[in-house]
Amino acid sequence: MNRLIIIDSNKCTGCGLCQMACSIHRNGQCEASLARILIYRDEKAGIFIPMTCRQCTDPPCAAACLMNVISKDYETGITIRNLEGCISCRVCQVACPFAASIFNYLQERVENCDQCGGDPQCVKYCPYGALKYTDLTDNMDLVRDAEAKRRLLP
Amino acid sequence: MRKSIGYAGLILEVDLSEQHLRVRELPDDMCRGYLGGIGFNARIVYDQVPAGTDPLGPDNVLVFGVGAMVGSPFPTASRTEVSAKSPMTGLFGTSNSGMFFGIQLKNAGFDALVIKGQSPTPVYLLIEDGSVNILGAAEIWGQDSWAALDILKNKYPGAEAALIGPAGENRVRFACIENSYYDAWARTGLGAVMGAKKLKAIVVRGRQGLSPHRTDSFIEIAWKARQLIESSPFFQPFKSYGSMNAAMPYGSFKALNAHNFNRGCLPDWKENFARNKVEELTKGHIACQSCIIACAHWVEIREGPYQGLKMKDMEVTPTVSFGSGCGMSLEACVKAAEMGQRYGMDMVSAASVMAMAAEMFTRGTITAEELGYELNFGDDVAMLRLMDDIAHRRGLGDILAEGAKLAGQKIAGGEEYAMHIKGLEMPMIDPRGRFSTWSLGMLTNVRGGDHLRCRNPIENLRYNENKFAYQKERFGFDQKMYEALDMPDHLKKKAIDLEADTTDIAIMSRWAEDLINLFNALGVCIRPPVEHKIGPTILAEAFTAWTGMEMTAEELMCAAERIWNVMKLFNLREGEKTEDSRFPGRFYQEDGGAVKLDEQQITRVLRQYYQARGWEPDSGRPSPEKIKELGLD
Amino acid sequence: MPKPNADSCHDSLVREHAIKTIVIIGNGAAANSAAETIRSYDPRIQVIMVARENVPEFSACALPDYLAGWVSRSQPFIKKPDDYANMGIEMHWGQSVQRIDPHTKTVATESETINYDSLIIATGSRAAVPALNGSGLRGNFVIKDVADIDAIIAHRPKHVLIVGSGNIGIEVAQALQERECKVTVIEQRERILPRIFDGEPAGRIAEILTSHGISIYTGESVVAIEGYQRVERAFTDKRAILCDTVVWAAGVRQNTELAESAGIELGKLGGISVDTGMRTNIASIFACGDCVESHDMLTGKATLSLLWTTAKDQGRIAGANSLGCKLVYPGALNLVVEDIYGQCAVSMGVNEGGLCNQDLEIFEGESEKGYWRLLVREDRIMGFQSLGITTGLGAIMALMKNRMPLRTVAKILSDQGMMRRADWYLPARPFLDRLKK
Repeated sequence: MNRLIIIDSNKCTGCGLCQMACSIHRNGQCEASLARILIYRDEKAGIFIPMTCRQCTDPPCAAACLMNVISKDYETGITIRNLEGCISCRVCQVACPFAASIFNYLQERVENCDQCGGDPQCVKYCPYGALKYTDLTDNMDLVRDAEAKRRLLP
Repeated sequence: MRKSIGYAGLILEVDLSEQHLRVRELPDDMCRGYLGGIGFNARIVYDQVPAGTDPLGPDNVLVFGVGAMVGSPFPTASRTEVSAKSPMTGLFGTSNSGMFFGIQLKNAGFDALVIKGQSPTPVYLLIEDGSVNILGAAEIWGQDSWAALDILKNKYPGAEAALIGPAGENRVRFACIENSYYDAWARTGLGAVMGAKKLKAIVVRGRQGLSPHRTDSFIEIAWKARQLIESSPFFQPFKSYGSMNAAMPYGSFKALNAHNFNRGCLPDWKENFARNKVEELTKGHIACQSCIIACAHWVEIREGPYQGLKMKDMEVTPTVSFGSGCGMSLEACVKAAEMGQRYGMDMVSAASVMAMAAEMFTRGTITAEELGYELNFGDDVAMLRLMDDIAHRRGLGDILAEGAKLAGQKIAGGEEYAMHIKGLEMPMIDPRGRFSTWSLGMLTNVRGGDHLRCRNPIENLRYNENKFAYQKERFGFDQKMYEALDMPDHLKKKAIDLEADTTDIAIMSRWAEDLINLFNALGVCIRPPVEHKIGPTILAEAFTAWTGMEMTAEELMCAAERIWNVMKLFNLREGEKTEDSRFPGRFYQEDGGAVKLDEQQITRVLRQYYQARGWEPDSGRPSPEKIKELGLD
Repeated sequence: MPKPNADSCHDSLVREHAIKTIVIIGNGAAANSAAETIRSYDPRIQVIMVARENVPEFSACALPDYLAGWVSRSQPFIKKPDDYANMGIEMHWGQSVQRIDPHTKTVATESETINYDSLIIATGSRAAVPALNGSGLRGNFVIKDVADIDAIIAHRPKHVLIVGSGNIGIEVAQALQERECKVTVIEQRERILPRIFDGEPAGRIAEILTSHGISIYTGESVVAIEGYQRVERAFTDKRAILCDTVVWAAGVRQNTELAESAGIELGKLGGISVDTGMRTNIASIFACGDCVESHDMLTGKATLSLLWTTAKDQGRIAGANSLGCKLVYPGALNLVVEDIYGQCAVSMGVNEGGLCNQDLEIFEGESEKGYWRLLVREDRIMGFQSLGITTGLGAIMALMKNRMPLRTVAKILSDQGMMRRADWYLPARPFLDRLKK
């Protein structure tokens, strides 16, 4: 099944609805810092770049975890966490190059995107199609398309 | 950390004279009676600013009120209202802006921020998760707003700021409060109020999330609202071209300010400012918090004298004001917008004053010696130079910085070129080319010559007919549109005559004002796709699910009406008269390429409007019955 | 997503001298990581673990949290006793290996002899307690396993002396402070956390600790401990300290005796010497974890890394290679994250002490959130330390690991198109932007 959330940052308007959707659906609270997706904002360059867990094949967060609570689900390709065991030491936050390990202060745990069990709300809410949830194979096509467009633009 | 429901629950009061802070709980009846945003502001300003207060003195009160639904994923809920007694009109001054300031302030724990007094030295305010500090602003005072923002954002990563530029520091009367880099609470000179208080910036950063009272139903309602907005016929055009959409039809009606309202539209407007030109300059969209439209564009100028300029721009108001009003080129409009942002000036007022100066120069009222240079319409360089002079109050710019009304009084023979209503410069639409609900709204607006507080939610821009003696405008839609409009049936029947295919301007004005007031109280955007589809019914559902306070659509509209009446009462207390609701003389004497306005007819429509509001038709005052009905006695 | 298997890791995995039995000595992070790796590569092969302890795998990193009472006693345990059987691992509890015979490929415990095709030594380390007067008295503790913590708690400490200020020392100091003990930390070197942080950040951390009531004495060493039957006071070369408990957190010794007796070579630093495939000098014998001497990823110098992540990584390599794979260990990269009274202190890579080199460039920065310093040599990031900052560190870590030249980074950051593609740099921009100037 292997599906991924793919991000085309050129389309992002910075509205923050993905973060709202994530935090309200997963925590019942509207709060960007609780969302498992973040938006890098450079207002002076007009750039907004959403970032979330890339579901790495060999996740550095899992390698760094002091409690061995992070593992791969080889069926879905998702990086899963057994949050029972998490002592929120935050080592995974430091190990993740994509800043995708999010400290949830309500639960005192560090979480990553789990694609909402196959129906990612951030993708549903994204008004400009900057986030897409696609198969790995389509994914590559999208990446290539986006890349081609970028090269055509000055 | 406290988990809040809907409202953050606190009002912060800062007294800059005493360096004193006070936090008040937000009373329930305030929420029910005034909702939030503009409602809180209206009540607080009415209660705390005594009659006759000097707007630039220590007794004026500057209020930031965050919309009730800001902080939620309700589409476009992002907006914050700022109010004070206006230094331009001497009446209720208020302005609305979106982006991320509101959500940050609410997440920092406050629904409203009240600033009183006057600091002896420049300061800025830092509000973070319930902690508030008044800090010295020596480092940023005197800096333009972008430079100051760079410093503040570097110092407080992830924070949002409301701040003033040099214009506000110099008390240019139409100075605005900048909202981050590219947005502003622009109209009615609130930046001058902030500058007079010696408050350079308000930096907010918050992390306390808000929770809906009923999460599941709120999510459902917010999603329904989103689908409604997306179903509006205005949605796609707005998504693509933003507010520039309105410029084309208004241009063809000859209803766009050209050269200080000398003409209804410039002949080359279509070639130089058409939508394809916009497409050429822009790339990418920029949204406010929770917005699904993202009407703003990122503009990059790649050639010419302003090459390398990059910013968020292409809003219709500055573009028409500078482009058509002053005759500047599109690229120079972007430059002017940049200067407006950096200096912190209301671009509509600045452009109007610049156009006024240019007309005075062309007609010989002022000379090149007085100005220091020649100032003709269409001279980009001179115009930008004048803008610089105004912001720094140099030479004639010092007089022009007082705004069109006062400058007109100070410069002999200048009064007839001052295009203002009640002291506030008129925006880009010309009522001679098209008289509609929008035009009447400029007269009845509590803040003066401005177009943003009254707009027919189902304005039809395909038709422009003058045969209705200012009383009606063409409805022009089918039965389905009529039925879809969220308006109580009895009122809808009165407002829209389906057989004659007309909309009653007086009744619709009142409805539109209250509706927009409701939006501003809840923090929802008034962009046409939203105003068209989102009505009190769904807002009541959303409000109830979000805050847990049961409110019906009627109660919400009643609150909106109460807010409008409170603002009107403030204005009346400050001495507003019915005669003040009048367009500048030029509109009755010159046709501007369309038709002259008929003063008597307009007065009649105004009386109809007063009646529709339940006000006394002669004095335009809320009647005692109305005051009682709204619980304002 | 393909599940890794032995064939995908190396084509030339030779199945003719089939490896049927792998014996792992130890039950720590490295041993378990090796066992899990072997299991994930090959579900059939026989895996035997021989462990001295009678408890399943636990995370030493959670011991201070348990000591402080922040987590329950069961939290440090990563596995349950029957997890081993469920994974198909034969666990020989409570047995210590007496002898390894490389010729017959057997290991002998007190009660049995086990044949192996591949052997993985993951015997770990033990806390070093110097032979001082009184270091044998009741009230002397080390922090090595859950039983040690149980013992400290049962001892009801009031005044605690902690010898050594490495990460364990500092964490235990905070934990015991949480238990309302009066805590004193003695460090032989001139600053705390000497192997992890440089002077400036270490000073800041010490300041936070002292402000919370922990006494810190640096540049002193404990010379004697006194008391009647139990610890009553300790003497350093400068002062006497009243205490009822002494926690020894001043370094460890590698458990290499068993390997040494089998003829396995040791390195200069005293750990088992291994190549980049975690192989010892004797065929079919691998070693990993605290007991080995590996090399530093950034400097290439020999190092005794005692970190959990390093052990896990080495275990993975040793496990795969014991099956015949040819994975290469890239070297140990330090990553230490400490919670200092709510402030996140991070050190990655090498610190100044580990880099004694003149070409070192140091960039420091202070934001309102915290302090950071970056060590750069030959245009590459060698180390990073911060206090109070949690965002943007992952990108720094990745740049350091990839040994990315900073001029390449600067090039990417100056080009918008490239920046969008390599967007993961962006959270680290506050640091990287400073490097340009």
